[in-house]
Amino acid sequence: MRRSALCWASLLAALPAHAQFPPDAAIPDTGRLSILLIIYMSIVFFWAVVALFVYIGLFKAYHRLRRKYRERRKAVFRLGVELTLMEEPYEKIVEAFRPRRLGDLDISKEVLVDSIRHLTGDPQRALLRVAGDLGFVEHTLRRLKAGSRHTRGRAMEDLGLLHCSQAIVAILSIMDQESLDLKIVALRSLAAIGDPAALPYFLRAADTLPPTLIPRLASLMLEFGPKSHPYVQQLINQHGDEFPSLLFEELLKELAAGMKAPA
Amino acid sequence: MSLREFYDWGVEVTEFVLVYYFFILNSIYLLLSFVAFRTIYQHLLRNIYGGLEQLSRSPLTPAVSILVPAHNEAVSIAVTVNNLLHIDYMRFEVIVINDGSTDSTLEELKKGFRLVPADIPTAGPLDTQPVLAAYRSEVHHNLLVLDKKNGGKSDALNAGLNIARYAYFCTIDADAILEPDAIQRVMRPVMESPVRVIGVGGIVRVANGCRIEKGRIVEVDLPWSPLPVFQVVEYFRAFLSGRTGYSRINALMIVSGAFGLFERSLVVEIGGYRKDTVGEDMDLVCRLHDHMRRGGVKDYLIEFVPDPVCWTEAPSSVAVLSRQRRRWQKGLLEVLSEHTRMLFNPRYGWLGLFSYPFLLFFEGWGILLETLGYLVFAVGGFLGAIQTDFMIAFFVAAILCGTLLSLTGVLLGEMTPREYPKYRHWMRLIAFAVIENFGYRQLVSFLRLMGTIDYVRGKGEWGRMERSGLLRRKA
Repeated sequence: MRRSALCWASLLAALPAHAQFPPDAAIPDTGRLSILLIIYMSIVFFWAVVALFVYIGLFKAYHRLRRKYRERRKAVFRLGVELTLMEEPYEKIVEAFRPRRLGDLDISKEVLVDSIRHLTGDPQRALLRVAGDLGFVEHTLRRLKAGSRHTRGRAMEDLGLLHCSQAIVAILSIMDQESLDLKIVALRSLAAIGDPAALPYFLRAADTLPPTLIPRLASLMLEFGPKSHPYVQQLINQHGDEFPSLLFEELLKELAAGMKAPA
Repeated sequence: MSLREFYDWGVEVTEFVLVYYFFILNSIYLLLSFVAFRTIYQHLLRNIYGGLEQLSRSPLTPAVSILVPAHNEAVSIAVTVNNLLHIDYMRFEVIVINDGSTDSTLEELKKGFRLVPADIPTAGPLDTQPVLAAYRSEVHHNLLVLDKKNGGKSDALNAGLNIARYAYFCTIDADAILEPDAIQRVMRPVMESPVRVIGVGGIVRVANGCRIEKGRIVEVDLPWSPLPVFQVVEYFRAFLSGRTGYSRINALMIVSGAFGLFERSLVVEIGGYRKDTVGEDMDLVCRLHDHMRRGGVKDYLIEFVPDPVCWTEAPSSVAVLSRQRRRWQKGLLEVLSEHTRMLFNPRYGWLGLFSYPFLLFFEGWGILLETLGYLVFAVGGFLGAIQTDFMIAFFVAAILCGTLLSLTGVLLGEMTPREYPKYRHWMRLIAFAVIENFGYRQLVSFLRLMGTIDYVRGKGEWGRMERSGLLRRKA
């Protein structure tokens, strides 16, 4: 009779809680523990399902709201990109990107960085100037010291896109302590900044990277253009064995093309 | 001991085995889900600063050969190939292998891409059925078409491997839709992993119900028909919870045949795809693991990328689903029986100690125990040997656990890109995560049992997979 009551309790699951079970709930009359295990599992699963259901609901609602809000705010700052493309006066562009509310800085920076990614020439230069004048660069540089590795990774990526040469020293100083994946992000960021002064550090990094990452390192070095070729040749001399033959061929082609190209 | 006592003892033992089987199985699933949740969360955060563009434009990013085996795929082949020719990747070639189609697959290709005969050597290190002709497109320099005698999917892939030029190859079903950045996403681990990555798989999503334009998914939506929605939940659970978890410990044994990327030289070295199994995709992954481990190489990875890379049409009728699931089960058992040396073999790492035994005892032969459970509960309940309250409690636990696992899959699906955007989608997915426990799961179990019987009888082959032609209808 007691077992039956317990089972129905778990079935109804209206008030399932461990505290509800009397201390002698181990079904002493049969000694079969399997039923007790099932009952406990039902209770745990029931609450897990409820918790997950609520979590998914909150997760979905939060992300939906956040996305909608950010999209609305992004639309405000996209005006700045349009003004840049229409070659409006610089002051107007700066004003369009200026954060107005709490949390706007991040959104405005995201719009700006995303546009820089896709633009070249004068519009890109104008946006880079805006990033400097509105303090986006300083803000991102501060994020290099963040506790979260993902925040640091994102900051490195953004600094690369912002062609921020002030960031080179900061990135190099933290690069050695970072994990392998962030080290690659740091190297990519340095390549995007494009200052050839960073190239010797790529060669130094090659000594600490696993062999499988050497081709990736070479591909990042090539981002610097022909100035990187002597360093790439040095990399080949030191780590030539790490390149798969097909990639090695491509690399040599690339270097040869650089030699033929007019200075 | 009287007969009645013996019977009661038998029921009690079976009950005990079933309960602990259920407990262990679901604990492992939950553990895998937990690992997957953490892994996917980290992966998504990393995606924000992933730098895919640099990877795709670099001259040193390895080129990829995309192999498309096609047998009677006239309905969708032109759209699929057109889609593949426009992916975002620096250097790639598309090789379509017409595997003795009896419909107008080849004509569709000739018409759509202005094919002309190509004088290229089609023989290679792998034995295949004779290649009748090779064609090159006049408009797309990177499109090749092989026309060969029918030999099955594995044979077609081997023929493609014989002429593939690049270091990595990717296989894709002729009715699948590739995400434009899919190759970049699967090549990233190859380029940026500290150890050698020899294979990569990604999540295959259900395209039924989505709005498709010019061979691309432009709006993610759920189908109205319930059967594909059940499969949406199931795919989320299997790919995101299961495979991400296995991949985390380098114990992934399956990379979906619908989409997978591998190192070509290694696959050729182990003799290409095996033709005598219907689980050629899983078999390849197992043999790759085997080859590496026997060669004493431990530092390698077969990875799973939780980004959506490929969309496919899920069966929308029970008959087609039945053929698919029976084939999957038969393939699973065939491959497991081929690689018994992996069982509890520490040489294979987590693969031998966890992944293989789990697949063997739970996913493979576990279906027999599941069936036994249904029988014992039905008969025992009828004869009064099992108390009704116990049966009800077990039933409730099973439903709650099934719901929990499916909800975890739905949550992971919501976290990854290309999620279902509307509240109604979310409500439906949650509803189906509950409803699937009342019929769909039992149906799948039954089909797995049939697949097991097919395996024992040595019966069963690929069978026909009718497509409604999502691509053609929406193109």
